[in-house]
Amino acid sequence: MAIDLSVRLGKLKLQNPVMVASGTFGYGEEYARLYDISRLGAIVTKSISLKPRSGNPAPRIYETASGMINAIGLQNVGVEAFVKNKLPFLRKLKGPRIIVNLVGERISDYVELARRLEDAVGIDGYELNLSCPNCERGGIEFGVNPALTAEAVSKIRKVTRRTVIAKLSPNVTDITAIARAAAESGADALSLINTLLAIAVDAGRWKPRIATVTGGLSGPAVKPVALRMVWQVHRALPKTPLIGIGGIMTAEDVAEFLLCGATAVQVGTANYINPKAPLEILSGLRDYLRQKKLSNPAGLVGKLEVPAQLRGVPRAVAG
Amino acid sequence: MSGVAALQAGMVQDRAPVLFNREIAADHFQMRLKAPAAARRARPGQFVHVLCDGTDSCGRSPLLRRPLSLSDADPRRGTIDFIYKVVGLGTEVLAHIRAGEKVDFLGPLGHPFTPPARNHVACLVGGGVGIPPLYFLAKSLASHPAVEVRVFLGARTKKWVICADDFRKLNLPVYVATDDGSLGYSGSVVDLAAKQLPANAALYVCGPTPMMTVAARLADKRGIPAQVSLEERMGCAMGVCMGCVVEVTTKPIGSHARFQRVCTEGPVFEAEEILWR
Repeated sequence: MAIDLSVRLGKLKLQNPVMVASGTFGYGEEYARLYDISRLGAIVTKSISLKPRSGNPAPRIYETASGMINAIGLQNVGVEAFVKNKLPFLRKLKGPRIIVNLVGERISDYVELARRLEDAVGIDGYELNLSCPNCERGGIEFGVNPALTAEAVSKIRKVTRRTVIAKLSPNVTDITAIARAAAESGADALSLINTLLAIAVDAGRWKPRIATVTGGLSGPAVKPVALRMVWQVHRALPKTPLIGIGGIMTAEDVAEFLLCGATAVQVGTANYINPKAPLEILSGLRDYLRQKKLSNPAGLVGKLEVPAQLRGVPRAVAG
Repeated sequence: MSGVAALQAGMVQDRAPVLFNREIAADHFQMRLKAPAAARRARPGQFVHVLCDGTDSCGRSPLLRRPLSLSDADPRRGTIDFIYKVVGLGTEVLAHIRAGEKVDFLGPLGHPFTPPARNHVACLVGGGVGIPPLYFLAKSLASHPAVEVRVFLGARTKKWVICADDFRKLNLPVYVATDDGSLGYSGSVVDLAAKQLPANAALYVCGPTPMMTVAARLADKRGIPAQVSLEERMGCAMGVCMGCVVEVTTKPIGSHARFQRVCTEGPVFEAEEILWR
């Protein structure tokens, strides 16, 4: 049976469901020295802000059990240097879709970023990093508040016809409320989850391991949480394409995310441990589909078998 | 392509046979890998990013690779060496790997040491587990008859003064300091070096951060050039994750380049570039 790995995120077709996650792949050039990155489904760039950002002081990362905590602080070259110095390399890649991750301190920043990038050739979509503290509203993250999420997504929706993906924070009470707000405001797809807020402690020195005290936990440690959230959001919004993220190391991990309702996935922390993980996942996924007698990954999406009372779309929680 | 980019482009990912992995001092191990491609390209000051595959006695496994500075590379035999101290989960697992097994590494990585300008005396100042990368540098410099090299080694106590005989075999003068006075000068290796530095010294320093801070101040006071090899926890080691940064004084505060990557712009920096705290 011929296997076709292509998937659709709304109107955007990907040659396969294996994307690489923002912040773990730079702007592509480094990993291109190790393997043919044109085989990826999509590349999500490191977060881009209007102005260059210097990021947080060191130490910025620390390894924990089956995971790592990072607090990079969104260090990046800014949108002008991105278009001038980074995009030309990405534009030349024929296979993967190029998704630019945007980050801002106020909603107008996201709109301005999308406007500046609209004329640049070689961009297929935007992923909105809504996990940055909002300067206008006392430092609350956009992504933890449904109204702010809706406002950000709908305003960007108005300035672009490109695919808009909202990246959801897991540090919320009810992720389905945020997901619904983003989807109803015009997001083409949702990616979940961003990192889990965490702390690592040096008991010898009575100090945090990360300079900014808290950081984001990623890696296999967060996979079960990510699977649960993908499953919950897929159940609430079965028609919204989801991109599963969280500790994916192998093709089996990808299958788990697809079964819970993801249409595509992003490989993040695994890039640091096994740089060729995305390629190994692709060939493993092909084998898995063949073994399950499926011709396309879509045949897995949301197929997790659950008890009858948990099937179907749950009613929205009142209030 | 800049010099750094050119060197990084020569990086490989390899699963290399372990030729030996032996304890050379209490808690210190030397591992030699058969890795011809990396051995040809390796320069003193560069490192490899090693996958520590295994579990400790509690069943815990390291997730991230560990950066380890090269202590030697032999292009003729096609081998690379590194020396590490068992300090945590990654190095504990590494210490259990035996000859004949394979180790997955990325490298060589990073910006290497730059040889001294003409008429300078290369003064290598190493502390503890910072000593081994200076051996690779000493070997490389000693092959140039025109370069004069002096070696200053320090550790907390006698048993941790590693590699001293290896430097002596290169026919280089070796001066030793220990914090507890159990071998050589009693006190810090930077104090020992300070007493003997010629006016035309060029410092090469690798060791714990407090020691490098003192060495950088010394170099600044005497107006002599100094290169330091920094250590920081790393994610990718390929310049992607921005996890292993150090703050520099050469770029404006708030600019994206204010924090430079130890894996890419480093690990070797000019001491005067670094914001020492």
